[in-house]
Amino acid sequence: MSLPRDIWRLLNLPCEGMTELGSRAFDGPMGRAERLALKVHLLTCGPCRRFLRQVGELRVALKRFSSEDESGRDLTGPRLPDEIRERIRRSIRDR
Amino acid sequence: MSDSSDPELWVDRHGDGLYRYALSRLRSPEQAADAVQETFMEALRRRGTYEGRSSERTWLIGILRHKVIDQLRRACRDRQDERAREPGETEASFFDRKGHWRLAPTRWVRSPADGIENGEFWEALNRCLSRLPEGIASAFLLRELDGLEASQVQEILGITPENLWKRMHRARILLRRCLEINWFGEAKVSDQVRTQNPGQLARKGPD
Repeated sequence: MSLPRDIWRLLNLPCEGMTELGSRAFDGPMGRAERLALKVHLLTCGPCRRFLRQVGELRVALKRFSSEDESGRDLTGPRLPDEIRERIRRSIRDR
Repeated sequence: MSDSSDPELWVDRHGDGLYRYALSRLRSPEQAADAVQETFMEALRRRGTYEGRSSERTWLIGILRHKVIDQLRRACRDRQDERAREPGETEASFFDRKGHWRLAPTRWVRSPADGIENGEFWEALNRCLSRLPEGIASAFLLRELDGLEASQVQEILGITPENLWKRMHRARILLRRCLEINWFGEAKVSDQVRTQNPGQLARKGPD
């Protein structure tokens, strides 16, 4: 299919499809038609613009979160059940 | 490993953190507990190879990550039918039938950057991540938090690229919405301003 026809087809995507395209852009390179169609849609669509900007900000926070994960700082949430804790302690001692 | 690191202390120091890591990705308490136990046992065997270049927690999480991925691989072989299921078909729809916004994103009155130093923000993020539906959560966490390549995630979960994009999109929609309700949104912030410390939260200008 030709580039203009691809862009035309993509330009008819509603916000659901456009935010999916935008989301995909976070995960890897996109084709030229997709990139152009998304750009044009975002020029005129405030909610999609806002969605992608907020999701982008969240990704930055998530990067921090994953390093917190390994920092040893424990957040509240489910705890390792006591019987499992005891089971693991026993297996460590028995080795 | 240094002398101060007695394996019996690992369970107290890292048990909960490792368990939460595994549970968020596997969702089954039994599988998560097994993965944590296997991690400690393997760490014990490999104790001599730990060089102290990374923190003890990072080293243990590195072992656990492989255990979790193995479990996810096995689970995907055992549940072939899950592959075909469209993720998120039961969630409330954010778009109408024509694909236009039904529940459009609202303005955030604070940004994630404002929350970085705030424990409450991490709690909210943690809660929202744990509410993601199972198949969506494992794809999203492996990709966004563990930093695996898209092709690796597809292979581990036995899904097509198209399916992975759909799951990532769904995860972003759900996570964004959950945090809007629990942290960023106008309703949440004005709630806190009323009940906690008025004047402390700087309001951002309109966007």
